[in-house]
Amino acid sequence: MSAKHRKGNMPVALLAGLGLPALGLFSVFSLVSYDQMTARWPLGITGEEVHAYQRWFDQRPDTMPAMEVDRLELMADGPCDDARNFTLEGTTGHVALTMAGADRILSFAEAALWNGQHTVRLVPADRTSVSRLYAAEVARGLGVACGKAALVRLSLCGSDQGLFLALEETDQPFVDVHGADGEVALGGGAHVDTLVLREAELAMKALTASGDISRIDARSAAVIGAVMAATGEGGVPGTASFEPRSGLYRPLLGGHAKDTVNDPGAHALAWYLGTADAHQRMRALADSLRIDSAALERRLAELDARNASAFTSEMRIGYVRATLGHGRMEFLRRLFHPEHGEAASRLASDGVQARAPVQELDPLLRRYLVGDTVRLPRDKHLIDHVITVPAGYGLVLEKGARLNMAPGSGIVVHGALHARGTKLNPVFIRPVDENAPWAGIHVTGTGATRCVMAGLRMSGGGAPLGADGAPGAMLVFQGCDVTVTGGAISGSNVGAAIAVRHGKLALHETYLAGGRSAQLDITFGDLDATACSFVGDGARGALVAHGALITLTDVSFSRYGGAAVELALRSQAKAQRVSFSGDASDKNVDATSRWEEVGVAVGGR
Amino acid sequence: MGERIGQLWSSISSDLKELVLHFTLLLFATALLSWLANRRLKPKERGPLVSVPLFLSSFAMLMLARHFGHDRWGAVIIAAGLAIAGFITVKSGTRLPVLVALMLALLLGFGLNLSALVLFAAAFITLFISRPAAK
Repeated sequence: MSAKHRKGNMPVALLAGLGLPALGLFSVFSLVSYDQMTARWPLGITGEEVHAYQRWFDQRPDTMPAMEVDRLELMADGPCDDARNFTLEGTTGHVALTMAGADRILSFAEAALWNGQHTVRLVPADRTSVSRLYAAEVARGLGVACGKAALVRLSLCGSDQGLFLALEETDQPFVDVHGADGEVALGGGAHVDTLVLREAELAMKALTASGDISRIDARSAAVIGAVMAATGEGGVPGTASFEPRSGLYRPLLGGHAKDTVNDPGAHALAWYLGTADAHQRMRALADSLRIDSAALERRLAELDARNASAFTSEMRIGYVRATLGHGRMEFLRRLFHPEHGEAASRLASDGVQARAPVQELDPLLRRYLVGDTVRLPRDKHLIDHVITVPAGYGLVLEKGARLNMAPGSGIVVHGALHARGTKLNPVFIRPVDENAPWAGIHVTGTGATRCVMAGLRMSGGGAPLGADGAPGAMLVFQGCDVTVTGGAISGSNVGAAIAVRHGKLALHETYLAGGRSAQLDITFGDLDATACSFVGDGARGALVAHGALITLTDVSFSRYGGAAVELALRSQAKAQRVSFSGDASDKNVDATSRWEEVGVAVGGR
Repeated sequence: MGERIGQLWSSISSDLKELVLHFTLLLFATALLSWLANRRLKPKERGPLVSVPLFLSSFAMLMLARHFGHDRWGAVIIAAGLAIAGFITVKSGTRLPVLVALMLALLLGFGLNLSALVLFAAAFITLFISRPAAK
C-alpha cells in the first residue's frame, strides 16, 4: 500500500462536503428567478427558510430602483427617555405619544397635523402588513369611509424605532371630517352624550336582538368585511360611527382599538359580518370586483412598487417585490373568492331571518278589524288597559271617536296610526279621571311609516307606559312620518304632550297648551311647525330639541315659565315670523346648536 | 405534567402522516450514512447498518423538536446531550453518522427541511469521499 493511501483524507473530504453544497446554494439562490424563488418550494421547504438562505446566498446585483418610505422624526424637548410629548421635525406643533400594547398612538396638534391626520396608530410592520394597505386602497376605491394608511419609519430623538404601519384613527375628529353632521365615534374612551349612548344602545338592540339590519350601513360593512377577510387578519375588522338621528351605524376602516366590549361600533360591525346578508353582499361584491380585476391588480402593484424598499434591509429589492407579489395575489384570491362559514348561516337563522312571534289581536280591536286595519268608529270606547296593535295592522280613529282612557292605560301601535277628526267631529282622547293620568299612545314605525292625525282633541296622559327606554309622553312617535293638523292638545302633567324620536313631525294649525314639562320633545327628528300656537300657562317650555332639525313658521309662544324653545346636541332651527310673549326667556341654545331667525318678535316678559 | 404529556400526544397524533414520512426519511438517511461510513472498514470493524438505539434516539429527538416549536434552545440542549452520549457509547463504525443523524432529526423536527437537505448532502459527500486511515 502506498504512503498516499495509508494517510486519511478527512480534511479534503470535509472541505468538499461543505464546499460543494455551498456552491450549489450560491448557484440556486443567485440564478433562480425571484418569482420561482418566492413561489411554493417542494419537500415542504418553508418560505421563512428560503428567505434566510436568500440573504446569505443571493449575490446577484440589484437592478431595481429603491424608493424611501416616509419618515416620522420626533424630537423631545428634554430627555428622550419616557418622554410623551414631542415635536415633529420641521413643525412647531406638539405630538403626544401614548402606548397601546405594541402599538403607538400619535396625536397631533391642530396646528401641525401630519398629512391632514389628527391621530395615527402606529402598528409594527412586516411584509404581511402590506395587505392592510391593499385593504385601505380597495375600500377607498369603493367609496367607504377609510382612514389613511401608509408605511412609515419612526425615529425618536434621532433613534430609529423601525418600520410601522401608520393607520389614521377613526376617532371623533376623523368622523367630523368624513361623516355626516352629528355623527359620533363611540369607541376610544371619548365623552359621548348619554342621550346618544342610549340611542346607540337601542339601535344595537334592534340590530342584534331583532335582526333589524337597516340599523347598519350594510354596503360599507360588506366592503370592510371583504377587504379585511382578504388580508387574512383575524379579530375585529373595524369599527363604526353612529348617527343618532337615523339610528344608523356606519362602518369605518382605519386604526382602532381592537375592543368590541367598549366600542359598540366594532361590536355592531362584527355582528353584522356574521350574518347571511353580509355574506351574500360580500359574494356580490367579489363578483363585481372580478369584472375589473386587472385594473385593481395594477393599482395594488403600484402600491407594492412604492413600498418594497421599506423591507429590503439585507435583501434584494427584486426578492422583496416578488414576495410582495405573491402576497398580493393571495390577497386578491381571497378578495375575489370569499369563503362562507357555517357560523354565518347559523347566526342568520338566529338573528336576521328571525321573525317576531305572531301576536294575538286584543279582543277590543278584533271587533273593529277590517282587513288589516282596526277602525274605531264614532262612539265611546273605554280603554282600561294597555292595548297593543301588532306589526302588520294599522289603527284608524274615525271622526267622532271618543277614547276614554283609564289611569295607566294606553295604546302601543307597531304600524300606522291615523285620526280622521274634523272641526265639527273631532277625535277625543280624554282621561276617565282628570286627576289620574293615563299612559299614552306609542307608535313605532319603520322610519317611513305615515301617521296623519287630524282634528285631535287630547289631554291628561303622559304616565310611563313601562316600555324600555320609551319617553313618558301622551303621543310618542318613533321612526314615523307624522302630520298633525287642526289639533288642540293640552299638555300633560307628567311628560311631554308629543314626543318624536327619529322621524318627522309636521304640525299645522295646532294649539298646544298647559302641562308641566315641555310640550314638544323632538329627539334626533325633524319638526316643521306652521301656524301653531303654544301657550304655557304653567308649562316649563314649549319645545325641547336634541339633535333635531326645526322649522318654525308663523308660530307664537306665550307665557312659559322657562325658555320657550330649548336647543341642544347640534340641533338646528330656522324661525320665520315667530313671536315670543310673556315667557321667562324666549330660547336657550347650547354651544353645539344653531338658531336662525327672520322676522322674530319678542314681547314683554 | 399530565397537560404537557397531553400536548405532546396531540402534537404527535395530529400529523401522523408527516411523522411517518419523517420516520422513513430518517431511517433512509441513517442507513445510507452508516453504509457510507462502513464502506471502507474491514468486516470486523463494521457496525450495524442501522443502530437501533441510535435511530430510536434520533426519532425521539425529532418528535421532541416538533413539540419544542417555540423553545428551540431546549431542544438543542437535549440534542447536544444525546450527541455527547452517543459519541461516548458508540464503539463500532465511525462517530460521524451519530452526530449527523441527531442533527438531521433536530432540523426535520424544527421543520427546517432545506437545512436538513443541505446537511445530508454535506455529510453524504464527506463520507463518500473520505476513507479511514490504514491501520
